[in-house]
Amino acid sequence: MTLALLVALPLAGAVPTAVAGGLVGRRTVGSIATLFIALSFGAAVAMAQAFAAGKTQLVAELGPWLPIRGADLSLVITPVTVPLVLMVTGVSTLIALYSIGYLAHDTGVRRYFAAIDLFVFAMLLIVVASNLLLLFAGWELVGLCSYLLIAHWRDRPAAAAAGVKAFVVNRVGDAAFLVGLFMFLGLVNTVDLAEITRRVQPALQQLTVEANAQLFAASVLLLIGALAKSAQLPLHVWLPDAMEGPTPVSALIHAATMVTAGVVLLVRLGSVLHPDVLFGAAIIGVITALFAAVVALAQIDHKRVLAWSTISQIGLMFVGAGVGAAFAALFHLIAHAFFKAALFLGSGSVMHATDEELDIRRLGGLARRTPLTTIAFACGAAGLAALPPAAGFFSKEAIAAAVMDRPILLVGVLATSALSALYAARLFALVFVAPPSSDQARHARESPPVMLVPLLALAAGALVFGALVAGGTVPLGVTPSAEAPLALSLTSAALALAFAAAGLAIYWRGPRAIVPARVSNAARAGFGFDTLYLAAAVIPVRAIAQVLEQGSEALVQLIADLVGRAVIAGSALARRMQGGYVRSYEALLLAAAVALLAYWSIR
Amino acid sequence: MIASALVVVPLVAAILCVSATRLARPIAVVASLAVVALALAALISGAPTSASVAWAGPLHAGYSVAADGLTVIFLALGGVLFAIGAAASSRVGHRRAYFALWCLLIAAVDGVFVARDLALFFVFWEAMLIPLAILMWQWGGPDRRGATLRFLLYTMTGSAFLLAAIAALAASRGTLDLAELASRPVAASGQLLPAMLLLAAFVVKLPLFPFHAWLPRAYVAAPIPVALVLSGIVAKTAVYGIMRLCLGLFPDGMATAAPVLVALAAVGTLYGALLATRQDDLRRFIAFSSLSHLNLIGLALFAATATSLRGAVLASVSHGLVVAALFLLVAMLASRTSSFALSRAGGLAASTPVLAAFSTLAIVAAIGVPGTSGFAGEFTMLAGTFERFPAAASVATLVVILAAMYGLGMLRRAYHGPPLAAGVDLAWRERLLVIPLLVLVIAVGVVPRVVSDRIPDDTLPSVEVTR
Repeated sequence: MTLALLVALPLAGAVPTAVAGGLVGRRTVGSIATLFIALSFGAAVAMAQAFAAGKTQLVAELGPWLPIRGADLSLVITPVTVPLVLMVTGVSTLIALYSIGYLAHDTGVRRYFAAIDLFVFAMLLIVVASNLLLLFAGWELVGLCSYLLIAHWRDRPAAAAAGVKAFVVNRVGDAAFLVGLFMFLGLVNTVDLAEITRRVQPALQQLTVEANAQLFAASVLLLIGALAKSAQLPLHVWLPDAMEGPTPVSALIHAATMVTAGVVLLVRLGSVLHPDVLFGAAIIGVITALFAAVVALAQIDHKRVLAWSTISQIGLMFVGAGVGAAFAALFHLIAHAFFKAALFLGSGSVMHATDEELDIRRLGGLARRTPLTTIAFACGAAGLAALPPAAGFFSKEAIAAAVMDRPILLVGVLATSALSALYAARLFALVFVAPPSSDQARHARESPPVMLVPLLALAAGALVFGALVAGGTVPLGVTPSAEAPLALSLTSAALALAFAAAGLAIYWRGPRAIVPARVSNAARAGFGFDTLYLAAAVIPVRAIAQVLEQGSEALVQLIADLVGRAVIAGSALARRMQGGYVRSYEALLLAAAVALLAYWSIR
Repeated sequence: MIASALVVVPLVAAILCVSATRLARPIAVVASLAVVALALAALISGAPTSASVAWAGPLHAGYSVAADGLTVIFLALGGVLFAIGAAASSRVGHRRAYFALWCLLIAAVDGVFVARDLALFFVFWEAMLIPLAILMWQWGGPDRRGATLRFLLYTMTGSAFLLAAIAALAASRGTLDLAELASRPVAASGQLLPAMLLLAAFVVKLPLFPFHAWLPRAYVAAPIPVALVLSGIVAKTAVYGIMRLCLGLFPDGMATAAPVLVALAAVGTLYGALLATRQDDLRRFIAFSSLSHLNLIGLALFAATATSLRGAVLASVSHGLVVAALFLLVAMLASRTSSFALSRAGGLAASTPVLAAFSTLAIVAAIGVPGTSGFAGEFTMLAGTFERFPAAASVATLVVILAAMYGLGMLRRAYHGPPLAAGVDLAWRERLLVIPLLVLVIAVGVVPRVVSDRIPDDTLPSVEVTR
């Protein structure tokens, strides 16, 4: 019951917000929508207590859905997913609350909050769906909400383009996901996750070569789905553009929750997916993590720094999930949700304070003007930089500990951590410390309490969450697979401190070019993936469509005309046959009789 | 009894329409809703619906009608679309003639779905063309004459093969009664030819790629309500025909031809979607997106697994509802920009937020997002097709990417960006036309089994056991 409520409440909030939101004031709409998410959080807390008291599983069966085996409307929650549910509903509540202030003057608050509520519903489905199909429903719906919210400001062409791009790239992954799903259906004839796990797991040891190949292919396809949703190489291109949406959306969907759905999928399906494919996810994760960290270092738009940083941090989660360290992956997922949401809301607060200024070279000195935002941002940045004792320190250490026996992965993880500390420090120094370099920065004003309260709450989470988990106060439902040796802890702490200090020192007095402009420009553009896809996918598809329209479609129409002419000509012929001459009728009769006889005798 | 009433009620309504100018439209709406009510009554009461009268003995033809679950699903869909189409026909000239023809079309379409005798089926099949052609010819747009002629020529060519098949069956089997034909099936080796002759009529009406040349012109030239029912329900008579006649009577013949047909349908699915990305005229946009959807339905029909057929029925219902909503919304957009051209719209969301919201929901259903009927149909079809034709199903699955491109691309060009066009937002009268469709789209998306569980087992292949 509580489980059904957990999921149903945000959906119940979306409907009146969308349908009747016009009847009440803007602030009320936001409050109602937030209330429903908060109630859902309450349900999550109630369930967490039940689990703390010893429950091991909660199930809600709501009825059948599609005419396919296992495709029912049923939910399941286990100790592994309890922390995720708490995080999703908790962070969503805070960000919805923040949005009330952030969008106080927006005319589209109704559809904004309706989409936010729908999003929370869909995200919860991904976490608690008991079958792959319902999970996929949530998977697609979060994509839809992402589209709606990126394109929220409908008069901006760039926002509309970014929304479509996000959805289309996600659909590339969804198409792969679908075919993978069909293959699983073919393998085990059900989409029920528990049953798939039961039947695939023992089979892993004694699969036939063919079934093994099928499982491999199906796993690859699901992984492609996860890569698209979680913005991992090579399907990461939509996330930086997604920053066209309102900043709370970036915090919620494009940092804390939706983009981590790929990690959730890998964790939930960890025992089903082919082990080689799972390890492939770790490899892709580490490459993405390093690549995106380098790109983040070159960004000049503070939201884009955070966007690329998100891609990089999710790469680390993929490493954890890929090597089977569910604890490390989930730990970093939730820690990241806290510190990245705090950073994005901080970014939003900076924009609010400075007339929507995004260029970090035109900011600076905000520490004096907006002290509370600065403190919150500093906490988030400390989390990102993995400075002890902030959350990121413990969660990244957990990932590093999980790959201790794989030196290449370990080096990649540590290097990414070092770069994260560097760009986090650069961002903080340029926005808050360096001398102000524009009038907006000089006249910045602090945000209202409705924005500051959630911001500070998330910042507190970014600061203490790691220690709480590492100290065992907050259980994560899974136990760590590897304990971090002291040497590793010291190394990662030293790396983080050194690179953070270096970043602060370099950028303390303002922007500085430390690499040649050509390199930084290439990095800033994400090393040309957009151009590549434009040339390799978008333009060819458009060209094919054009060729089809002017070629084959014209041909189809032409043939239709010819058929029409042939009929007219034929009818002229037929008219001549109906000339009244008995001999021609007889000839026709004979021919028809012969043809029919031939047909029936052949049969 | 009820099955006969489903034809008689709209016929009576047609006569009433002729005699009452003022009330013609309400009569047509009520007649359509009566069809829905009768169909559902047939389903719920469980009373025998069939009627059978021997007739034209030497021709082996008889009057035999019945309404089973499959028939009822299509009739209910048709009734809803005819009612909304009639309600949307607010500013037509020659009202008595228009609505009388409208009711005749309802009667003919109902007849196709209830007929249990091939000769009777053919009579109704051809009877659909007459009111349809006159409605297009007389009330259509600038290209109406050419488009109507091509539509007629094309479909009648297909019908010729249908007639040939029926004649051959009458001669060789001595009966045209569907139940009797099914009880004494043709030998597997002799099924291919009659199956293909029957299919010829259906692939044109559907239309299957590449037999779709009539489609874009007809969608543009027909009056919007007529285009709505043409795509929404008349195309579904082909779906029904393939299920009931081709697959029902000649499953082995269909299985022999399946590889070729499946390939054509998979190509057509992507072809329609690719062309939809390039359309400026919104009616052509609907035409090609419909082509894509209808070919996907064809794919599922030709794959002919129990799951794919359930999906095909769900998708037929979904496409009918969604395409009706799209046609209405596109007409409402056009009435504000005085043009069906996308290039004349732009940034409309600012002045018409409700129109934008409804259009977004309709497109979301069209591109198959879960929670809408579009997903229920699309997923079930693809999953079912994959059981037998994994390669074709995988290729066809790429349509989800192309659909996102054309669907959201259309929304972006019409509603997003700086306002280039403006208009008054939807009036309540307009909203009430679209809301029932959108509600049904969501309802079928959330509880699709309400529809798919009504499909009688004897219309699904019996060898496979899916739950």
